[in-house]
Amino acid sequence: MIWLELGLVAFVIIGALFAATIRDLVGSVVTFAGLTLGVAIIWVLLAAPDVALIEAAVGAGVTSVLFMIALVKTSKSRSDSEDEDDTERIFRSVNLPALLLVGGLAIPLGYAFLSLDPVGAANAPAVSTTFADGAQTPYGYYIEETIPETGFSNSVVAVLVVYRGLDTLGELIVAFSAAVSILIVLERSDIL
Amino acid sequence: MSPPETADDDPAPTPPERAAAVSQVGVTESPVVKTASRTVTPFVVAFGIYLTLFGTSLPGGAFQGGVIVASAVTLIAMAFGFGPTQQWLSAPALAGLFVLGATIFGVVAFGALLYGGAVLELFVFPLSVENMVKLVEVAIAALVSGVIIGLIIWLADGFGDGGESV
Repeated sequence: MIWLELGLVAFVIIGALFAATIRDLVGSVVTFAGLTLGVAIIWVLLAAPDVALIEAAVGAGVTSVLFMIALVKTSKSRSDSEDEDDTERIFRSVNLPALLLVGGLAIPLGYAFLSLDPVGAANAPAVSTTFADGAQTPYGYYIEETIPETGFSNSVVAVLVVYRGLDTLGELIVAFSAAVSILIVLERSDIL
Repeated sequence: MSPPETADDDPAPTPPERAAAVSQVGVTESPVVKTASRTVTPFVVAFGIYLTLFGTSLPGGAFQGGVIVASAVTLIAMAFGFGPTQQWLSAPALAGLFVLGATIFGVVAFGALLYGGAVLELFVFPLSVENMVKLVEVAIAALVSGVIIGLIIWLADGFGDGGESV
């Protein structure tokens, strides 16, 4: 099982490098969609099917389509960049300061990742049901009271709608405003 | 990937021509792609509705269900073209979908005040909390799917000059 996970992580990292450096932008979008599916499978292996569904549908599906629409709408600039010397036809040259910046950010993040507790560890701070002084954590409340209070076996939905409904309302206000702003920017407000 | 290349042939497409090129995106001559997406779409829509309605007891939920319904429509748009899809989906109905979702959620959120609860307190309604959550989930799914379908279809159509399909 660990080899499956390591293989998926290697697939995602190599795919990310390809997506960042490949010169053909359509190829970059397709690579991005593929690596996002790898991320979705990693979420499934980490026992987070809700996140995996979102990752597959939004990351691989909707985002790729939006990228493709943006590519087609800006195809003039894409054809301009194609008539350069063909020594670097497949990959674009890497900007060294940007590489150092990204690497300098990724290495501490990876180091911090190594210090995390193993998945499902009972004493991990994120999943412990009591604080050190014995008081109940919010996580402990959601885990222990969701089924008695609501009867839902999926506590994610219970947290999203019942306990943190105000946050969900805020998210929906953001989505609604996005749709309305697009209609206004595109001068299509006659629809509403 | 032939449609973007046909757009490249024109050195400087004027906005209406570019909008026309965009509305041709995804128009494929392949009967395999068209038949496959036509066959798969009902199942994807059913899966999205299932995730929405059974999110209380199974993995999933309204956000996932709404996005999956929207991705089914996106698949149709990619296979049959954004222009025909936009004519097939009435724009006021699409806008009505997310306006309806926002309205239902808002009514539920502030309707709790009438029953003596706090805003969004779902336990005070006469219906069971599970039915209230399913109502809210349907509202969220309607809003999310309407917003995402509209985002893709209207962005693909472009500025107001492409309004011939409305």
